[in-house]
Amino acid sequence: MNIVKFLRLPKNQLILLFIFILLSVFFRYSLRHIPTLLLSVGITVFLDLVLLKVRRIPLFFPSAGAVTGIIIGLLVSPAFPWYVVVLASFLAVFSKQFIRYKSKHIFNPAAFGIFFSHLLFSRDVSWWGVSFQQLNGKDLWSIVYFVLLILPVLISGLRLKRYITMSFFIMVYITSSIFIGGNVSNPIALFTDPTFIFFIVVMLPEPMTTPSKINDQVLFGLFVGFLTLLFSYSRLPFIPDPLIAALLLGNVAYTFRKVTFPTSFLHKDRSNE
Amino acid sequence: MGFVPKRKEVKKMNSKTLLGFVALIFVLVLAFVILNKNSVTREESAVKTKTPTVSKTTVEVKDVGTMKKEVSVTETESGFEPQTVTVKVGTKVVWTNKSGATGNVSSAKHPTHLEYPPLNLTNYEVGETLSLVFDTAGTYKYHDHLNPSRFGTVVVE
Repeated sequence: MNIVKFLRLPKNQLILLFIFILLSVFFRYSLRHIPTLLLSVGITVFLDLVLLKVRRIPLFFPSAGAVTGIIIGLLVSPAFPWYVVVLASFLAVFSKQFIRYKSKHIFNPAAFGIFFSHLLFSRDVSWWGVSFQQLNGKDLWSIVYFVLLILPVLISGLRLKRYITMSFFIMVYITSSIFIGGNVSNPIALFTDPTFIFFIVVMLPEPMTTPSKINDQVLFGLFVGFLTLLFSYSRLPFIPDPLIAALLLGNVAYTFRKVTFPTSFLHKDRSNE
Repeated sequence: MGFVPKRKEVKKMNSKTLLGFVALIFVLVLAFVILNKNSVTREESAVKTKTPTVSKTTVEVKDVGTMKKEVSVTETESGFEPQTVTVKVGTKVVWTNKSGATGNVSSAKHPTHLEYPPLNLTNYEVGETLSLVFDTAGTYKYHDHLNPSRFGTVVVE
Protein backbone atom coordinates (compact mmCIF):
# COMPACT_ATOMS: atom_id res chain seq x y z
CA MET A 1 0.00 0.00 0.00
CA ASN A 2 1.21 3.46 -0.85
CA ILE A 3 2.15 5.04 2.48
CA VAL A 4 1.41 8.58 1.25
CA LYS A 5 -2.06 7.53 0.15
CA PHE A 6 -2.56 5.72 3.46
CA LEU A 7 -1.64 8.81 5.44
CA ARG A 8 -4.04 11.05 3.56
CA LEU A 9 -6.95 9.70 5.57
CA PRO A 10 -7.61 11.52 8.87
CA LYS A 11 -8.07 8.20 10.70
CA ASN A 12 -4.64 7.03 9.62
CA GLN A 13 -3.09 10.37 10.53
CA LEU A 14 -4.67 10.00 13.94
CA ILE A 15 -3.15 6.53 14.31
CA LEU A 16 0.26 8.00 13.51
CA LEU A 17 -0.18 10.65 16.21
CA PHE A 18 -1.44 7.98 18.62
CA ILE A 19 1.80 6.08 18.05
CA PHE A 20 3.68 9.09 19.44
CA ILE A 21 1.36 9.19 22.45
CA LEU A 22 1.84 5.45 22.96
CA LEU A 23 5.61 5.86 22.80
CA SER A 24 5.40 8.52 25.51
CA VAL A 25 3.18 6.20 27.58
CA PHE A 26 5.66 3.33 27.31
CA PHE A 27 8.54 5.67 28.06
CA ARG A 28 6.72 6.94 31.14
CA TYR A 29 5.29 3.66 32.46
CA SER A 30 7.64 1.05 30.96
CA LEU A 31 6.46 -1.66 28.61
CA ARG A 32 4.37 -3.63 31.09
CA HIS A 33 1.11 -2.15 29.80
CA ILE A 34 1.66 -3.27 26.21
CA PRO A 35 -0.50 -6.43 26.60
CA THR A 36 -3.56 -4.33 27.53
CA LEU A 37 -3.15 -2.18 24.46
CA LEU A 38 -2.43 -5.12 22.18
CA LEU A 39 -5.53 -6.88 23.50
CA SER A 40 -7.88 -3.95 22.88
CA VAL A 41 -6.44 -3.09 19.46
CA GLY A 42 -6.28 -6.75 18.46
CA ILE A 43 -9.92 -7.38 19.29
CA THR A 44 -11.32 -4.26 17.62
CA VAL A 45 -9.25 -4.75 14.46
CA PHE A 46 -10.03 -8.46 14.29
CA LEU A 47 -13.77 -7.98 14.74
CA ASP A 48 -13.81 -5.21 12.14
CA LEU A 49 -12.05 -7.54 9.68
CA VAL A 50 -14.52 -10.34 10.44
CA LEU A 51 -17.45 -8.04 9.82
CA LEU A 52 -15.92 -6.81 6.55
CA LYS A 53 -15.70 -10.43 5.48
CA VAL A 54 -19.28 -11.11 6.61
CA ARG A 55 -20.54 -8.19 4.58
CA ARG A 56 -18.44 -9.23 1.61
CA ILE A 57 -16.63 -5.93 1.52
CA PRO A 58 -13.08 -6.09 0.12
CA LEU A 59 -10.67 -6.23 3.04
CA PHE A 60 -8.79 -3.10 4.04
CA PHE A 61 -6.96 -2.08 7.18
CA PRO A 62 -9.69 -1.11 9.68
CA SER A 63 -8.19 2.17 10.86
CA ALA A 64 -11.33 3.13 12.76
CA GLY A 65 -11.16 -0.14 14.69
CA ALA A 66 -7.51 0.49 15.51
CA VAL A 67 -8.31 4.02 16.75
CA THR A 68 -11.11 2.61 18.93
CA GLY A 69 -8.79 -0.06 20.32
CA ILE A 70 -6.05 2.42 21.14
CA ILE A 71 -8.50 4.71 22.96
CA ILE A 72 -9.83 1.77 24.99
CA GLY A 73 -6.28 0.70 25.81
CA LEU A 74 -5.40 4.19 27.02
CA LEU A 75 -8.49 4.60 29.20
CA VAL A 76 -9.15 1.19 30.75
CA SER A 77 -6.88 0.59 33.71
CA PRO A 78 -4.28 -2.13 33.08
CA ALA A 79 -4.83 -3.08 36.74
CA PHE A 80 -8.33 -4.33 35.90
CA PRO A 81 -8.91 -7.97 34.95
CA TRP A 82 -8.20 -8.64 31.28
CA TYR A 83 -11.84 -9.38 30.50
CA VAL A 84 -12.84 -5.78 31.26
CA VAL A 85 -10.69 -4.71 28.29
CA VAL A 86 -12.13 -7.55 26.21
CA LEU A 87 -15.69 -6.58 27.08
CA ALA A 88 -15.04 -2.87 26.38
CA SER A 89 -13.60 -3.78 22.96
CA PHE A 90 -16.50 -6.13 22.11
CA LEU A 91 -19.09 -3.58 23.18
CA ALA A 92 -17.37 -0.87 21.15
CA VAL A 93 -17.49 -2.93 17.95
CA PHE A 94 -21.00 -4.14 18.75
CA SER A 95 -22.28 -0.57 19.14
CA LYS A 96 -20.61 0.50 15.90
CA GLN A 97 -21.96 -2.39 13.86
CA PHE A 98 -25.36 -3.05 15.40
CA ILE A 99 -26.64 0.09 17.15
CA ARG A 100 -27.29 2.15 14.07
CA TYR A 101 -29.73 4.69 12.75
CA LYS A 102 -30.02 5.55 9.08
CA SER A 103 -27.00 3.42 8.27
CA LYS A 104 -24.70 5.26 10.71
CA HIS A 105 -23.67 4.25 14.17
CA ILE A 106 -25.13 6.34 16.97
CA PHE A 107 -22.47 6.19 19.66
CA ASN A 108 -18.78 6.93 19.80
CA PRO A 109 -17.69 3.26 19.80
CA ALA A 110 -14.83 3.56 22.30
CA ALA A 111 -16.96 5.67 24.66
CA PHE A 112 -19.81 3.15 24.50
CA GLY A 113 -17.57 0.15 25.18
CA ILE A 114 -15.71 1.82 28.02
CA PHE A 115 -18.83 3.23 29.67
CA PHE A 116 -20.91 0.06 29.75
CA SER A 117 -18.05 -2.27 30.66
CA HIS A 118 -17.23 -0.02 33.63
CA LEU A 119 -20.89 0.38 34.56
CA LEU A 120 -21.19 -3.40 34.73
CA PHE A 121 -18.26 -3.64 37.14
CA SER A 122 -19.03 -0.39 39.03
CA ARG A 123 -15.60 1.03 38.29
CA ASP A 124 -14.40 4.52 37.49
CA VAL A 125 -12.75 4.97 34.13
CA SER A 126 -9.03 5.28 34.78
CA TRP A 127 -7.78 7.40 31.82
CA TRP A 128 -4.36 6.09 32.93
CA GLY A 129 -2.61 6.61 29.59
CA VAL A 130 -3.75 10.21 29.24
CA SER A 131 -3.46 11.52 32.77
CA PHE A 132 0.27 11.86 33.43
CA GLN A 133 1.01 14.53 30.79
CA GLN A 134 0.55 17.44 33.20
CA LEU A 135 2.61 20.49 32.36
CA ASN A 136 5.37 21.02 34.83
CA GLY A 137 7.78 23.91 34.44
CA LYS A 138 10.53 21.93 36.18
CA ASP A 139 10.44 19.01 33.80
CA LEU A 140 11.17 19.31 30.07
CA TRP A 141 9.68 15.87 29.40
CA SER A 142 6.31 17.03 30.72
CA ILE A 143 6.24 19.60 27.92
CA VAL A 144 7.12 16.95 25.32
CA TYR A 145 4.40 14.62 26.65
CA PHE A 146 1.87 17.45 26.64
CA VAL A 147 2.67 18.51 23.07
CA LEU A 148 2.31 14.91 21.86
CA LEU A 149 -1.03 14.64 23.67
CA ILE A 150 -2.44 17.78 22.11
CA LEU A 151 -1.28 17.03 18.53
CA PRO A 152 -4.51 15.21 17.49
CA VAL A 153 -6.15 18.64 17.50
CA LEU A 154 -4.53 19.07 14.07
CA ILE A 155 -6.83 16.33 12.79
CA SER A 156 -10.01 16.82 14.82
CA GLY A 157 -9.94 20.60 15.10
CA LEU A 158 -8.38 21.73 11.85
CA ARG A 159 -8.79 18.87 9.35
CA LEU A 160 -12.24 17.68 10.47
CA LYS A 161 -13.24 21.21 11.52
CA ARG A 162 -14.83 20.28 14.84
CA TYR A 163 -13.26 23.29 16.57
CA ILE A 164 -16.66 24.91 17.18
CA THR A 165 -17.85 21.96 19.26
CA MET A 166 -14.54 21.92 21.09
CA SER A 167 -14.60 25.67 21.78
CA PHE A 168 -18.13 25.69 23.15
CA PHE A 169 -17.47 22.68 25.33
CA ILE A 170 -14.35 24.37 26.74
CA MET A 171 -16.26 27.59 27.29
CA VAL A 172 -18.97 25.86 29.36
CA TYR A 173 -16.51 23.72 31.27
CA ILE A 174 -14.01 26.42 32.20
CA THR A 175 -16.62 29.10 32.93
CA SER A 176 -18.49 26.78 35.25
CA SER A 177 -15.30 25.75 37.00
CA ILE A 178 -14.67 29.36 37.86
CA PHE A 179 -18.18 30.54 38.65
CA ILE A 180 -19.82 27.39 40.04
CA GLY A 181 -16.75 25.60 41.35
CA GLY A 182 -15.57 28.64 43.23
CA ASN A 183 -12.09 30.00 43.54
CA VAL A 184 -9.85 28.25 41.04
CA SER A 185 -6.40 28.21 42.53
CA ASN A 186 -4.69 27.17 39.34
CA PRO A 187 -6.80 27.76 36.22
CA ILE A 188 -3.93 26.82 33.90
CA ALA A 189 -3.71 23.37 35.51
CA LEU A 190 -7.46 22.95 35.05
CA PHE A 191 -7.30 24.03 31.43
CA THR A 192 -4.27 21.86 30.64
CA ASP A 193 -5.49 18.77 32.47
CA PRO A 194 -4.41 15.93 30.16
CA THR A 195 -7.63 13.96 30.53
CA PHE A 196 -9.64 17.05 29.67
CA ILE A 197 -7.37 17.70 26.66
CA PHE A 198 -7.62 14.12 25.35
CA PHE A 199 -11.38 14.14 25.69
CA ILE A 200 -11.65 17.41 23.77
CA VAL A 201 -9.22 16.68 20.96
CA VAL A 202 -9.96 12.97 20.44
CA MET A 203 -13.24 11.75 21.91
CA LEU A 204 -15.58 14.71 21.71
CA PRO A 205 -15.10 15.37 17.97
CA GLU A 206 -15.43 11.79 16.65
CA PRO A 207 -16.57 12.59 13.10
CA MET A 208 -19.26 9.96 12.52
CA THR A 209 -21.28 10.64 15.67
CA THR A 210 -20.94 14.40 16.00
CA PRO A 211 -22.22 17.28 13.87
CA SER A 212 -20.22 19.15 11.27
CA LYS A 213 -22.62 22.06 10.66
CA ILE A 214 -21.75 25.13 12.69
CA ASN A 215 -25.10 25.54 14.45
CA ASP A 216 -25.21 21.88 15.32
CA GLN A 217 -21.65 22.01 16.59
CA VAL A 218 -22.53 24.91 18.91
CA LEU A 219 -25.48 23.03 20.36
CA PHE A 220 -23.56 19.78 20.63
CA GLY A 221 -20.66 21.43 22.49
CA LEU A 222 -23.03 23.21 24.89
CA PHE A 223 -25.15 20.10 25.40
CA VAL A 224 -22.21 17.83 26.26
CA GLY A 225 -20.65 20.59 28.38
CA PHE A 226 -23.76 21.13 30.49
CA LEU A 227 -24.33 17.40 30.90
CA THR A 228 -20.73 16.98 32.05
CA LEU A 229 -21.36 19.62 34.70
CA LEU A 230 -24.59 17.96 35.73
CA PHE A 231 -22.89 14.60 36.17
CA SER A 232 -19.86 16.14 37.90
CA TYR A 233 -21.72 18.19 40.48
CA SER A 234 -24.85 16.19 41.17
CA ARG A 235 -25.23 13.27 43.54
CA LEU A 236 -26.63 10.87 41.01
CA PRO A 237 -26.33 7.09 41.29
CA PHE A 238 -22.99 5.66 40.15
CA ILE A 239 -21.84 6.85 36.75
CA PRO A 240 -18.48 5.48 35.59
CA ASP A 241 -17.43 8.75 34.04
CA PRO A 242 -19.18 12.13 33.68
CA LEU A 243 -17.37 13.07 30.47
CA ILE A 244 -18.15 9.82 28.68
CA ALA A 245 -21.74 9.70 29.95
CA ALA A 246 -22.31 13.23 28.66
CA LEU A 247 -20.75 12.38 25.31
CA LEU A 248 -22.95 9.31 24.82
CA LEU A 249 -26.09 11.28 25.61
CA GLY A 250 -24.83 13.96 23.23
CA ASN A 251 -24.51 11.28 20.52
CA VAL A 252 -28.12 10.22 21.11
CA ALA A 253 -29.35 13.82 21.15
CA TYR A 254 -27.54 14.53 17.89
CA THR A 255 -28.82 11.40 16.15
CA PHE A 256 -32.40 12.12 17.14
CA ARG A 257 -32.02 15.89 17.00
CA LYS A 258 -35.36 16.46 15.31
CA VAL A 259 -36.92 15.25 18.57
CA THR A 260 -34.28 16.57 20.99
CA PHE A 261 -33.87 20.04 19.55
CA PRO A 262 -37.02 20.76 17.55
CA THR A 263 -35.74 23.99 16.07
CA SER A 264 -35.91 24.64 12.38
CA PHE A 265 -32.22 25.24 11.70
CA LEU A 266 -31.30 21.84 13.06
CA HIS A 267 -33.50 19.96 10.67
CA LYS A 268 -30.87 19.13 8.17
CA ASP A 269 -30.19 15.90 6.43
CA ARG A 270 -27.27 14.13 8.07
CA SER A 271 -26.52 12.21 4.90
CA ASN A 272 -25.04 15.37 3.40
CA GLU A 273 -22.35 15.50 6.05
CA MET B 1 -35.36 -33.21 -8.08
CA GLY B 2 -34.38 -31.69 -4.75
CA PHE B 3 -34.40 -28.01 -3.86
CA VAL B 4 -31.15 -26.33 -4.85
CA PRO B 5 -30.74 -22.86 -3.33
CA LYS B 6 -29.67 -20.13 -5.70
CA ARG B 7 -26.17 -18.62 -5.34
CA LYS B 8 -27.59 -15.37 -3.93
CA GLU B 9 -29.62 -17.25 -1.32
CA VAL B 10 -26.55 -19.25 -0.29
CA LYS B 11 -24.59 -16.00 0.14
CA LYS B 12 -27.42 -14.52 2.18
CA MET B 13 -27.59 -17.62 4.34
CA ASN B 14 -23.82 -17.57 4.88
CA SER B 15 -23.94 -13.91 5.88
CA LYS B 16 -26.76 -14.60 8.31
CA THR B 17 -24.89 -17.57 9.76
CA LEU B 18 -21.74 -15.52 10.22
CA LEU B 19 -23.66 -12.65 11.78
CA GLY B 20 -25.32 -15.14 14.10
CA PHE B 21 -21.89 -16.53 14.94
CA VAL B 22 -20.57 -13.06 15.82
CA ALA B 23 -23.67 -12.39 17.93
CA LEU B 24 -23.19 -15.74 19.70
CA ILE B 25 -19.55 -14.90 20.51
CA PHE B 26 -20.70 -11.58 21.88
CA VAL B 27 -23.34 -13.22 24.09
CA LEU B 28 -20.81 -15.78 25.34
CA VAL B 29 -18.27 -13.08 26.23
CA LEU B 30 -20.99 -11.08 27.96
CA ALA B 31 -22.10 -14.15 29.92
CA PHE B 32 -18.51 -14.93 30.90
CA VAL B 33 -17.99 -11.38 32.08
CA ILE B 34 -21.22 -11.31 34.08
CA LEU B 35 -20.35 -14.64 35.70
CA ASN B 36 -16.93 -13.27 36.60
CA LYS B 37 -18.39 -10.10 38.05
CA ASN B 38 -18.99 -11.80 41.38
CA SER B 39 -15.39 -12.92 41.65
CA VAL B 40 -14.22 -9.37 40.93
CA THR B 41 -16.48 -8.05 43.68
CA ARG B 42 -15.01 -10.60 46.06
CA GLU B 43 -11.47 -9.54 45.08
CA GLU B 44 -12.38 -5.94 45.72
CA SER B 45 -13.73 -6.78 49.15
CA ALA B 46 -10.50 -8.57 49.96
CA VAL B 47 -8.48 -5.54 48.93
CA LYS B 48 -10.68 -3.24 50.96
CA THR B 49 -10.11 -5.29 54.10
CA LYS B 50 -6.38 -4.75 53.70
CA THR B 51 -6.88 -0.99 53.77
CA PRO B 52 -6.28 0.44 57.23
CA THR B 53 -9.46 1.16 59.12
CA VAL B 54 -10.42 4.78 58.87
CA SER B 55 -10.25 6.38 62.23
CA LYS B 56 -10.42 9.98 63.24
CA THR B 57 -8.17 9.25 66.20
CA THR B 58 -5.28 8.18 63.95
CA VAL B 59 -4.93 11.64 62.45
CA GLU B 60 -1.61 13.20 63.23
CA VAL B 61 -2.21 16.77 64.35
CA LYS B 62 0.67 19.15 64.86
CA ASP B 63 0.52 22.62 66.33
CA VAL B 64 2.31 24.96 64.03
CA GLY B 65 2.61 28.40 65.57
CA THR B 66 -0.15 29.56 67.85
CA MET B 67 -3.33 29.18 65.79
CA LYS B 68 -2.83 27.02 62.73
CA LYS B 69 -2.76 23.27 62.76
CA GLU B 70 -1.37 20.77 60.33
CA VAL B 71 -2.63 17.31 59.51
CA SER B 72 -0.63 14.73 57.58
CA VAL B 73 -1.96 12.25 55.08
CA THR B 74 0.29 9.69 53.43
CA GLU B 75 -0.29 8.30 49.98
CA THR B 76 0.88 4.71 49.83
CA GLU B 77 0.51 1.97 47.26
CA SER B 78 -2.73 0.86 48.94
CA GLY B 79 -4.24 4.34 49.12
CA PHE B 80 -4.42 7.42 51.30
CA GLU B 81 -3.79 6.89 55.02
CA PRO B 82 -5.82 7.85 56.90
CA GLN B 83 -8.53 7.73 54.30
CA THR B 84 -10.68 10.26 56.14
CA VAL B 85 -9.42 13.15 58.24
CA THR B 86 -11.60 15.46 60.26
CA VAL B 87 -10.08 18.87 60.90
CA LYS B 88 -10.98 22.35 62.13
CA VAL B 89 -11.44 25.29 59.78
CA GLY B 90 -8.06 26.83 58.92
CA THR B 91 -6.15 23.56 59.15
CA LYS B 92 -3.46 22.79 56.64
CA VAL B 93 -3.60 19.24 55.28
CA VAL B 94 -0.26 17.94 53.99
CA TRP B 95 -0.07 14.94 51.66
CA THR B 96 3.19 13.01 51.44
CA ASN B 97 3.87 10.64 48.59
CA LYS B 98 5.15 7.29 49.81
CA SER B 99 3.49 5.27 47.06
CA GLY B 100 6.69 4.40 45.25
CA ALA B 101 5.60 6.21 42.08
CA THR B 102 4.26 9.56 40.93
CA GLY B 103 1.13 10.42 42.90
CA ASN B 104 -1.61 12.99 42.54
CA VAL B 105 -4.22 14.78 44.63
CA SER B 106 -7.30 15.95 42.77
CA SER B 107 -10.79 16.96 43.78
CA ALA B 108 -13.76 14.63 43.17
CA LYS B 109 -15.28 13.61 40.85
CA HIS B 110 -12.90 11.67 38.70
CA PRO B 111 -11.93 12.71 36.05
CA THR B 112 -13.42 16.21 35.90
CA HIS B 113 -12.26 17.39 39.34
CA LEU B 114 -14.87 20.12 39.50
CA GLU B 115 -16.33 19.69 43.00
CA TYR B 116 -13.63 21.78 44.69
CA PRO B 117 -11.02 23.01 42.17
CA PRO B 118 -8.59 24.40 44.82
CA LEU B 119 -8.03 20.77 45.79
CA ASN B 120 -6.57 20.01 42.36
CA LEU B 121 -2.99 19.92 43.57
CA THR B 122 -1.56 18.07 40.52
CA ASN B 123 1.18 15.44 40.51
CA TYR B 124 3.94 14.92 43.07
CA GLU B 125 6.90 12.62 43.09
CA VAL B 126 7.99 10.14 45.75
CA GLY B 127 9.03 11.96 48.91
CA GLU B 128 7.41 15.25 47.84
CA THR B 129 4.51 16.88 49.66
CA LEU B 130 1.43 18.86 48.66
CA SER B 131 -0.66 20.95 51.00
CA LEU B 132 -3.84 22.95 51.20
CA VAL B 133 -5.38 25.09 53.93
CA PHE B 134 -9.11 24.44 54.31
CA ASP B 135 -10.82 27.72 55.18
CA THR B 136 -14.44 26.66 54.83
CA ALA B 137 -16.39 23.95 56.63
CA GLY B 138 -17.55 21.09 54.48
CA THR B 139 -16.75 17.63 53.20
CA TYR B 140 -14.09 17.50 50.53
CA LYS B 141 -13.55 14.32 48.56
CA TYR B 142 -10.39 13.73 46.59
CA HIS B 143 -8.53 10.99 44.75
CA ASP B 144 -5.31 10.24 42.92
CA HIS B 145 -6.11 11.00 39.29
CA LEU B 146 -3.38 8.60 38.15
CA ASN B 147 -4.82 5.81 40.34
CA PRO B 148 -8.49 6.66 40.92
CA SER B 149 -9.00 3.66 43.20
CA ARG B 150 -7.02 5.66 45.78
CA PHE B 151 -9.37 8.20 47.32
CA GLY B 152 -9.92 10.08 50.54
CA THR B 153 -12.02 12.65 52.31
CA VAL B 154 -11.26 15.77 54.32
CA VAL B 155 -14.08 16.77 56.67
CA VAL B 156 -13.71 20.37 57.81
CA GLU B 157 -15.73 21.37 60.89
